[in-house]
Amino acid sequence: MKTAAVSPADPSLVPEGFDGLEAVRLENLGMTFGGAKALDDLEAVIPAGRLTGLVGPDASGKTTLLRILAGLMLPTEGRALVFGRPASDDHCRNSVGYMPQRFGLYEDLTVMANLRLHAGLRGLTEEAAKPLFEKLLAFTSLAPFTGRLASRLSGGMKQKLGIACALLGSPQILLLDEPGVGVDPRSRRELWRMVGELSGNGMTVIWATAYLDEAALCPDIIVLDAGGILWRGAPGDMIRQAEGRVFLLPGGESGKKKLARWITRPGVEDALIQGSRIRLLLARDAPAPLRGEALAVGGLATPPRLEDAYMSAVGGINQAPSPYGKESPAMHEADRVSPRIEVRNLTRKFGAFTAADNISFMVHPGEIFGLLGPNGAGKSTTFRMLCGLLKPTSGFCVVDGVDMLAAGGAARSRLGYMPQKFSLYPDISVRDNIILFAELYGLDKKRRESRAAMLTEVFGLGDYLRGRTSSLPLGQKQRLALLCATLHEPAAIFLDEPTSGVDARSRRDFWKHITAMAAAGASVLVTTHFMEEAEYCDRLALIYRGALISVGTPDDLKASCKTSGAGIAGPTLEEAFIAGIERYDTEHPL
Amino acid sequence: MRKLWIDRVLALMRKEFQQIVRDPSSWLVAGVLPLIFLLFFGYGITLDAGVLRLAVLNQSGGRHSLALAADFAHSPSFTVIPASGMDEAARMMRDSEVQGVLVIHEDFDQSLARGDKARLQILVDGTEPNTARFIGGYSQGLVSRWQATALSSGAVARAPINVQSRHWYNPMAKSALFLVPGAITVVMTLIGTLLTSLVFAREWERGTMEVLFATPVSRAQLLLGKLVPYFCMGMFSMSLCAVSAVALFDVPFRGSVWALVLLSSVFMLSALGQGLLISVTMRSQLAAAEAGLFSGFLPALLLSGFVFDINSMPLALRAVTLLLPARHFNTCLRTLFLAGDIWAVFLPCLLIMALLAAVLLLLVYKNLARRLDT
Amino acid sequence: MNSRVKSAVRRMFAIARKEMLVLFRNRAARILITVPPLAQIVIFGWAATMEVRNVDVAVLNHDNGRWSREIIHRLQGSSTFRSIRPLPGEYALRPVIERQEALLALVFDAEFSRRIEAGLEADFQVILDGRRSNAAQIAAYYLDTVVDDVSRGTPRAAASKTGGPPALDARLRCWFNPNLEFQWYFLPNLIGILSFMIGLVVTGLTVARERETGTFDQLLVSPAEPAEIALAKLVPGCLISLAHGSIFLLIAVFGFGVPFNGAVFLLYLSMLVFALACGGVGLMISSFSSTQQQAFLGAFTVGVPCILISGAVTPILNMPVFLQQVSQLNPLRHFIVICQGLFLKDITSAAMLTSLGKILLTSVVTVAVAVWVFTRKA
Repeated sequence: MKTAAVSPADPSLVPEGFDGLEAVRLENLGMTFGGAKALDDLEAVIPAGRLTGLVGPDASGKTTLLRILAGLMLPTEGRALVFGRPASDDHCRNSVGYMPQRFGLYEDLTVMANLRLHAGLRGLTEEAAKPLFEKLLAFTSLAPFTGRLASRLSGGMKQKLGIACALLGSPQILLLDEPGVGVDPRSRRELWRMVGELSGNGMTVIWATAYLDEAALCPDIIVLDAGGILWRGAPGDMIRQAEGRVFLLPGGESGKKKLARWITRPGVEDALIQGSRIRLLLARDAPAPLRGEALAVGGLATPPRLEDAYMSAVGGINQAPSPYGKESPAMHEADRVSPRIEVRNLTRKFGAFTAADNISFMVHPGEIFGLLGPNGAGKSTTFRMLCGLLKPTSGFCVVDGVDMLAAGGAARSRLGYMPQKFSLYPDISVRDNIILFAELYGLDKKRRESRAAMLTEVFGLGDYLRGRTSSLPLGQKQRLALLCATLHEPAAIFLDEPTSGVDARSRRDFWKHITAMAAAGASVLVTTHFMEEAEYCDRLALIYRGALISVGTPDDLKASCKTSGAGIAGPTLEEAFIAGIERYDTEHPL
Repeated sequence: MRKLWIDRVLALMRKEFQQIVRDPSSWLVAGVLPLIFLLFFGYGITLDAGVLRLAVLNQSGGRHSLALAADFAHSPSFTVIPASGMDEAARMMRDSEVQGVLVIHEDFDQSLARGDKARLQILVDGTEPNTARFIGGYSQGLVSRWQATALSSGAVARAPINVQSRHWYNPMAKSALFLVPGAITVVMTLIGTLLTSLVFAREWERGTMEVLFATPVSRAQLLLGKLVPYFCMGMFSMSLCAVSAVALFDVPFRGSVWALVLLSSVFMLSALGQGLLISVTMRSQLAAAEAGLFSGFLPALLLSGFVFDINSMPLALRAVTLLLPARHFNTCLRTLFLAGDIWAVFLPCLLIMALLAAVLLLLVYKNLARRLDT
Repeated sequence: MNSRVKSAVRRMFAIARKEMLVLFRNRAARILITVPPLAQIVIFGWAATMEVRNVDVAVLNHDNGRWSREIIHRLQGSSTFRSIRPLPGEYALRPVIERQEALLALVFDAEFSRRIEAGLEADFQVILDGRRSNAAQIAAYYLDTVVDDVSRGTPRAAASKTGGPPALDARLRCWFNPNLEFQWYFLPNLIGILSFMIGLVVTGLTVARERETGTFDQLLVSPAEPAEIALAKLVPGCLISLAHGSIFLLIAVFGFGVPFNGAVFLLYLSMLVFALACGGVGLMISSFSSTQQQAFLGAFTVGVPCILISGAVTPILNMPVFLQQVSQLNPLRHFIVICQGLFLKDITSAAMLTSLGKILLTSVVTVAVAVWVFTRKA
């Protein structure tokens, strides 16, 4: 029998022994939490020595599955085998490296102290650990920062440190739970390079992600939906499912209105803004004339992406029109010429650190304005200042003609705010949350009833009204948060990462509502790190290291990248973003 | 294999120490709070009566009554406030402006002149019985001394039977001498709870517990890795308390240091065990706070024999106090400070404290979920 | 103007309603709020006593004559003393005290009874355990009364009765608590302590928790003013405090037989004002802390000294003058004055209002500070 003792072998981590065919086998795996099924009858084999993407929105069961594989939970049904042994087996713990969401680092310890702790836990002697540290530090390019506190690292560096810690035990299988979240696009690319190198050396890597574009890069994927497997295999095979059903239509000035019309057409499974065009996905059983119509308005058939296939697999978008479409008097009364949100020279310093540096922009009525940037870039700081939650060190911001700093309650009732983290009261019922916000914004009973009734119906919250808010599925939580923020028909709506972690289908829904609100005259300020979502914005501002590095329409930004960059053909927003960051970094070295 | 086991514990301990060093709140709890609390306990809780306020209602006004009133006014035990009438005196009593009233009746001087019994009344605010007894005792003593000197103009006549009392270990019967060691017990119970009641909750919240559990660390290692660093912090606080007791409150230290170390160690284990148990069982921090208050601080304050004598409690409660580590530690500390190393007192207490510590730590071990699903 | 007030009241009502729903969200939370304080008042009310009972006495009797036996006999009849153990010799004296087997030891010398019979003064020694000097002193006080009683029957006392100086008839009377029941003193105080702690913890941790979950931002962004939020947050603490207070009152009066001489509505008024002050202190602590852990530490750091210098355990007058002055800032101290005044003393309204005013002042200042910090932290 093999002992559990760890051999401090080569950190480039060639898995020893196993015949190299299957790393993980799930047999009828089920997991139930207090009556709710988190995982339902999973059957799958994950090959050894390869990178497998575990794809799905929040609460689809990714984390639960990884925790079971890491031996942190016992499945309630079936079993999970890791290299032929039950995952809960103590011997497995030596062969599994696990990095949870938010990296699981001791933020109050230095980089080196974190590494030392894990070396100690894995039973490595000083002598054995030393070359390993050197190798891992070089691999992760963290060598210059060994004395730095983990809390002072950027998201990307924390990420790498988390992986380095997980690699210290020379595991045969590495489990990464959403390592891409909160990391700027450039660091994410570097991460891919690292993981690619590891799996190239024969390590089994399971990478959980909510992003389909990320998943498309994995050689194998398992797509989870509500605790079950929606699809598994190579992403290319899944993409082929949508072959011949995707079209790019010209959008132009009235793109959003056209989009809204397409969304409601029977036979349409997905429709979204993509730059100046509309991306259309037709159902397999779409009526034949629809296809002709799409081509007739100048549509071009285009190769599908993983997201198209995913949307098709989950049954397409919700075609009900947004309740926000009806123009409301509250949003209409302001004239549409003067800016609704005006930000001038906004600066916020925390000690020596400048979180927001001289930021200025304007948002007009009926406009969707996007703030883009990696975590920690200063988006949230800017946002909090706009809402009056944080005092700027200098500069000012005016919302709907009122200086937010001096504003009283009346001015605040003109804005709606949906924070990044779900922030409704989890312990009380959905209905009580709605009542609370209606009362806070002074809605009279009649208006409250009618508005709440309409919104809950459209959002499909009717069944949940009496249940505890914390037991809502994530997508419903986000809808409830939007509902509570817009119950009073605010003139300016602030949405901080409204769609993070939400599945693609719910995201479409969200943007349907957001565009409808803007069309009805509201100003929408939104932050996001989904580049494709940024396409919905009328104008975008890129925020990086506290500064606003460029502002413009999505097409403007792409164009500017083309002229200044290394001549990329047809850059995506993400490429434009990375180019912007690189330009800024060379102009402003640290 | 054995060495590997210990290495893991050492790695965890080193991590914990590094965290403690960087965390100002643990310094506050271990280094500053014990001193603040001990000062408040030492000065705030005392059973020795201060200067008592006494209203004197002299309805007679004759020579003898004035002399008696003057005796009261000159006594260091009393601050005398003249009252003009019974109504005013009663009001002062109701509003706690005075703790007692000396009423000299109008026929006082006449009665003395006639050779009759002269009537005096001492009204005492009985609200706080301890103070009431002091006033009663002091004033009756004063009256009988005055009677002996002023009226019989001779030496104080001695009673037929005299009790000569001697307080061993505490000759002046100063309450601070036995209250301060008790205060150390209460403070250390509190510090032990505060230090540990949130440690596991913090690891869960930050997601680091998940990482630890995904490594080959066992529950026992985890527990030891937490216990040892906080034990050291607790012992540090303990020595601060012991030094300040001697330096600030003039409590004698008649025992040996090593007995103090032994007793404190065993007690500390039980106090930390209690805190850790709260930490692993209470989900919300509000619940942990309440549990800390109601299972740690208040019982230690009221049931450990700190102010309220345990022997005088009803039998059922006396049995309950046996389960409180604070009660046993209190007994030991008083003996250790005031009387010295008396193992006949220490041994049973040590045994019970060790037993309680073992049970508490075992419960922590049992409740420390190795997996997330429980 | 009127409509502005109306909508402010509506918002406060909505927040207060939410607070109550959160506080009583499930069975566990409801139990946590209700059961421990009730258990505490019964247990601690029962435990707290300054009476001394069950005293063990050791006797080293070299005399064995009539008078020493008489004293011992009387002690045996008293309810204060539990056991009287004769010691075989001088050598046993130290260990019996050392090991706390006896709280006091009486030592009679061989001449004791003979001297009394001869009409002379006689002394005997009492050794008290200084580690429990308070209990020992009280026990000695009982012993004194026994000895006084015995003295009266001695030949010397009989001789001195005739032709002595005119005696004074000094009568001692205890008002408000004629039998000096300690529980009459302690139970009203316990009501204060428990309400104080609950108020501090319940209100103190709510804001910190909302900060951690992010819901506090939602409230601040809404039209509700910080002052409205603060006031609304005080409501649940006040309601719980009043509910507990009512039960405490019933337990104290009917369970422990503590008299209640004041007006009940005055007690409720004071409980309300006091709850506002406790909530205010809690709110102030949590306004300064950004995590629940900090609020937790803050509540203990402020709460424990407040209890110690409130006069709830030992009287304020025993404390050094400086601390007595500091304790003027302590709402618990004034509440205890009111409680004792209402239960035992029928305190005058003027004195009560003075104390009430001081509590009110604390609540106004603490809430104002909390509101100021809420707005400044933004």
